[in-house]
Amino acid sequence: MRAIRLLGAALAVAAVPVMAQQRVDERRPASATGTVEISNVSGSVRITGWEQAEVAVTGTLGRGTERLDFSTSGNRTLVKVVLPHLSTHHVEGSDLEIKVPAGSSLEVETVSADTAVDKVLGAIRLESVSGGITVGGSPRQFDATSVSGDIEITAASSPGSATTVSGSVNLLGVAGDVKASSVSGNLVVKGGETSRVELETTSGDISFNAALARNGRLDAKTVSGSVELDLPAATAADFDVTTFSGDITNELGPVARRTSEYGPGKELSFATGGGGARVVAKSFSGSIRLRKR
Amino acid sequence: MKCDDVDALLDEFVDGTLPDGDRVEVARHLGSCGRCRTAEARTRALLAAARALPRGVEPSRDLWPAIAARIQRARVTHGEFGLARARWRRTVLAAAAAVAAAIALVAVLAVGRHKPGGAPPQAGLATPPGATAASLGLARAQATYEAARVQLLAALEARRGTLSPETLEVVEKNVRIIDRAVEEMQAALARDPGNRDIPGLLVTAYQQEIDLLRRVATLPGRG
Repeated sequence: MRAIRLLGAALAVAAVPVMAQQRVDERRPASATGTVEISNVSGSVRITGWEQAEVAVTGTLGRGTERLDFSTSGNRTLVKVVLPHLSTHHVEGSDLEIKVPAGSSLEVETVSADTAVDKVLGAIRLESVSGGITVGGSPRQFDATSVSGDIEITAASSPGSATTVSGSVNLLGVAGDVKASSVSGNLVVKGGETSRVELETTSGDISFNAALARNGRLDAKTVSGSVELDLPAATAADFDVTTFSGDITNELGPVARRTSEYGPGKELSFATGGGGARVVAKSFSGSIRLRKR
Repeated sequence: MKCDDVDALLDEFVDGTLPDGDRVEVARHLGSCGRCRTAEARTRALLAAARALPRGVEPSRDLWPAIAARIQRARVTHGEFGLARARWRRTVLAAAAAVAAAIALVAVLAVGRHKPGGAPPQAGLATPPGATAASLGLARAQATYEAARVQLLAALEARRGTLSPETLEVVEKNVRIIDRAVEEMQAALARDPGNRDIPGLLVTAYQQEIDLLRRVATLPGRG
């Protein structure tokens, strides 16, 4: 790995930036269960798993880009769009379509480039500053982080986490143990039957509209965002809901009671369907709403 | 009852606040599962460690003037030692990881351990007079949070030139959101020191800010 980086650095000194947009169409043999490391500052990266034991990169390098590093060392493959170190010229984004062996693990890093991953079965780690991230299929595990980009994970039955600062997180049809957090972005969980879900925000809103597995667990915590939990009428769960100064609306059971005669706090503990799963919702000042769907 | 179920209930079991039915089930599972017994022992050890913390630690109510002063000191220190950026970043990350781990540990103690009306702690784990695991845990979390925050804000300063103005704006705006939330919750806790939910939310806010700032130190630059 270090050797690859050193080689890259040496090449960077001698390389000349691409003065026009340049087509890329390259392939390298790769381990069926190796790790593919991808780096692209701006533009887009679309990664798809396939049944061949090779990595294929197609697309375009933006004007001003220095080169594409594409190499394999052991079971690691590197795909990196390299920009000039000291360029004062505008560098266009690069758009890459990358096919990887389906069993690969991924490590993807972008600044503003959007990332889309599908049909990859290994563990995937995706990081962006302002780019959006979308993941489909069933990776073994996912870990997606972005500062201001939005994250959308669809139909993953795997465990994973999605973290943003201001971007939104959408977990659609997920079934594994998942965790999502954001400071001011909104968190949405929709569809599927979840086993363990942890949702945390500071000011972002939380929306959960899915089923809970038997003995599943849902934790939703926010300081000032709102929490909306839409659960099937047949949900069997124990609920523990509290807010320091927000409001609690409950369509699934009893009305919340005040925690003190003088303070604004409210709390609610009850069970539906004989209990089983556990739902914990807490806010400082945000409202909490429990709805039957 | 499966291991995951026991794991979810272990804190309350160790605290002695679990309802009888669940307590019996957990105890039965522990009797036959070595992995969960190890987890139970670890939880008890954490509780004992929290009780051994200095009792004089008080959560500060107004952190920011002191933090601002420390940020200045941290910048001076950075300059004096002349660390290369990469080394500085590694140093900050190592420190941040350590304190973030400390926050995570005390979070276990600060959350859900202060339940009015709950059963008393089990024999042999008596809490010192005037101090609860929750209050000690929160005080420790605040101290580690302050230390981590100072280092990471200095790291943010060091990276200012490598991040886009838009990203910096997002980071700073969200740091302010968390700071405001922390201030509001600290003020509320001062008015209602027995509140059992605010400490958990405070620790969550601390962790979010540490995670945010730590991530800034590792963000890819503009290239």
